[in-house]
Amino acid sequence: MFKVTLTAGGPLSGPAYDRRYEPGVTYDYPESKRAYVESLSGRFEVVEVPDAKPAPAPAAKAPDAKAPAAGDKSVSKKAS
Amino acid sequence: MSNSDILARVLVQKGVLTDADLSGGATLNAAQREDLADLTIAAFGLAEHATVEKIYDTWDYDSIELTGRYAELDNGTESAGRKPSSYKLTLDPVPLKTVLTLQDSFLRKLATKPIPEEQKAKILAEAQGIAMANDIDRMILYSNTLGPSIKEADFLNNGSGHATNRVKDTTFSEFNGLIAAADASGSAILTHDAASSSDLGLVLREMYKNLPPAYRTGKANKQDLRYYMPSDLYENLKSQLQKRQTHYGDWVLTKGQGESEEAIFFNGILCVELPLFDINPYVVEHITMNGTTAKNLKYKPISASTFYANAAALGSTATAPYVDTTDYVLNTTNGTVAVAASGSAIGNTDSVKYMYQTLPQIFLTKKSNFIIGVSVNDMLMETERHANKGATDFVTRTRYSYGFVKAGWVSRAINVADTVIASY
Repeated sequence: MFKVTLTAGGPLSGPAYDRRYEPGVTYDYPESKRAYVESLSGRFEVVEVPDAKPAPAPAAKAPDAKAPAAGDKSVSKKAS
Repeated sequence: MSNSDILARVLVQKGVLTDADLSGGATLNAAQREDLADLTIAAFGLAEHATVEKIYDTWDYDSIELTGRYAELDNGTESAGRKPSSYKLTLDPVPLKTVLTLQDSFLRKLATKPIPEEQKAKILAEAQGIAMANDIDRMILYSNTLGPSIKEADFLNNGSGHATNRVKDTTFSEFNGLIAAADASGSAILTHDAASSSDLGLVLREMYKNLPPAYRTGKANKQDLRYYMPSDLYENLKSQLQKRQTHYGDWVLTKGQGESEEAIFFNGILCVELPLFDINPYVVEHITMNGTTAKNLKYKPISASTFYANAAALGSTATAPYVDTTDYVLNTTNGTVAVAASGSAIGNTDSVKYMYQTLPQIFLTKKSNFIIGVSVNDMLMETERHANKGATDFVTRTRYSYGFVKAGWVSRAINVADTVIASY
């Protein structure tokens, strides 16, 4: 998981960007977007968010919610 | 006819200067200062396309803005009223001087000319016209409070100075010019990254779309708007328009060039070419390194041949720039830089000053939003005689500043390709 903030200059847009970035606003990106995030210019501050997801796993109440969480995990493992 | 020729002619015609002004080392009187301010302003490349104000010291421009809805139904009840927001532009002029040292042998040659006063005036006009107006144009584009790095020989410009080692350019560090202001943290200037697109039509339209809607409504607004672009890019735009097999394409091909040059409009907005705005503008940034991990530069792609790295604390001592591959690893395509794996003079967490050239940029704003202030009280012209050296210094002084009334009304394009689109 990444957090991306536009730290230099005013609002930024263009064909190489997936959205219009407003200064100071933090945008979240999943691991699958790593290549894109790394390609951003030095106008951005990229913060890597440590994998906090596995810890709050005891969502035992709702088995529906647990299944996709496990699925996500295996997908990210494959990707890396 | 060059700026200096125009100025020399006008200086004499207007009676701004006489022999007495020059030989006595006298400063200018009030009327002469006003005239000289007019002449300097006339020499600006930006003069026609910015609002140039004669100021007398620090200058404030107050304005109000009405945002949101202001109209309300008049139904007979008392209204609480609505408050406008206000903002202020303060120009704090920066002092500049030019010192032109001329040997007697050179002045003797001038004295043989039919009108010595005119020739002498021309010398001063050179100083004003070239050194002041042109350099001010450049400063407005390239100044950066981080301090650009420059070859010492270019900075001193008097025959001394190291040919390759670099110093901090303190003259261009007084304020943030257009590019630095747009790149600064918290800037309100909107940026469109063209990502190396050569379709100027598309880029110019995207820039327009980035302007706040309130700034686009009304015919008057469009007439007041200007695209400011490097001279070479302006030629690229003309080439692009010429490709259209239409009346306008032919018009650009014939009238839009040479002596009878007529203005080029795009989307109803006047395009202004700035000859001193390099096709590959200079930028400077400080980056705190992270060892061999690549750090992103603000622009890409960039040119390795005009890339200079020095310690961020670079000062007035001429210092050799760091060396590509030995000290740092530069990726020109991706616009990244990293500390070299071994033997680098750059520490893993050092702050490094990078000075380089990027792809062309374009600015869009209203002429009335772009203010240049020239301080009339500080217009000085003096001569200083060095009998022992057989030389005379011609000294001119001025103070000036620039700013946008509202930075949010400025739109910029970066990373525009310097090529003409194949078909249009």
